[in-house]
Amino acid sequence: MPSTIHVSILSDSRILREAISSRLILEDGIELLGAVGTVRDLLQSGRADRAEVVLIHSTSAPADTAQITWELKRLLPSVRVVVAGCRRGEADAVRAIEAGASACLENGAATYRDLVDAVRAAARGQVTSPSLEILAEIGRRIKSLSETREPSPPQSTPELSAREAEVVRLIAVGLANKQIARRLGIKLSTAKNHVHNVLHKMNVKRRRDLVGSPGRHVEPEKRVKQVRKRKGITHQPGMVTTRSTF
Amino acid sequence: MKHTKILLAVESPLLRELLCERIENEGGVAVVEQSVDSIDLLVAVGQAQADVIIQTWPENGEMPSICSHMFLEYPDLIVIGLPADSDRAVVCRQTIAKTEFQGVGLQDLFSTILHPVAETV
Repeated sequence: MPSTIHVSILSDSRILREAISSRLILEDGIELLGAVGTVRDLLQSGRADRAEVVLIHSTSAPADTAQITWELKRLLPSVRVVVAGCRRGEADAVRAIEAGASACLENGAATYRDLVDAVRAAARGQVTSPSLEILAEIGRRIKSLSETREPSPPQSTPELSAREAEVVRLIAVGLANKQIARRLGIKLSTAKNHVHNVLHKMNVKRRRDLVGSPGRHVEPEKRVKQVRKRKGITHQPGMVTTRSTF
Repeated sequence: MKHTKILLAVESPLLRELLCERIENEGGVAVVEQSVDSIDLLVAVGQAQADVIIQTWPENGEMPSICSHMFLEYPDLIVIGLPADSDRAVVCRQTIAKTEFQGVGLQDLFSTILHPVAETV
């Protein structure tokens, strides 16, 4: 995050522009580049590309605000947009977020502190909202999106390479180092190295501790049969219920 | 110096807070009360002896009914309305208007009866 956040204000209300500007210039770590009424004015100001955050407080209809946000993100992709002045309810906020806003503040609830916090969070690249209802709606929207998509393998943990994530999945389904090496077409020593690195990165001591990581849901019948055979279990379905024991 | 006393009744906490701060920094004006409940407004005006109310104006543009009651109780009151959906401001005050007609005819009389606001304000 830059040490000083350069902010431009975009509002069609002169009172709001002046009121927010007069206070924002006093904030530490924030430099106000200007306050304008339209996207065109912003672009013509010659300072738009210096802004890390554009604060939109529009009195227009929500659809117009979303359109302005979208337009701004299209013209200045790196800029973060904070939308203030949303009407009560989650619909406007979600519409603005979908258009590319990093934060959306309700007109009837957000305070000046919320506004500054949102600007700082946006500069850090976070998507946020002081309203739990809005966050919940965003969560619901993401969930509904996931339900309309084809299921995909779990995402690898950010610290793991793609190969290491694959190794975690193979460990989780109970493969030994030799089997992992064979499955991935690599040397045994390389497989061991991967396993060692994975255990280290995931901060666990034993392989079975990884069975809470990616791939936990994968439980091949073969592995279950092996354990049953080793433990002398013939057929007691109720016995094999705790997946973390494998 | 007599301060003009302002009652802030702006619904947006953000704008209310910022306006309050700006007004406090202006000479000759002071925020004496903040209220967003229209029912409380009538009482608040009296208690604070406000000269001016700055309040959120309805999106339909019509003067809130509470204003009529306030003008009745406090004839010198000025109401400044800020619509949330536009860049306008509406200034309302109770006006005692006097319109003089020369050579008044029946049409003038009926017109004044039918459109008193348009003719007198």
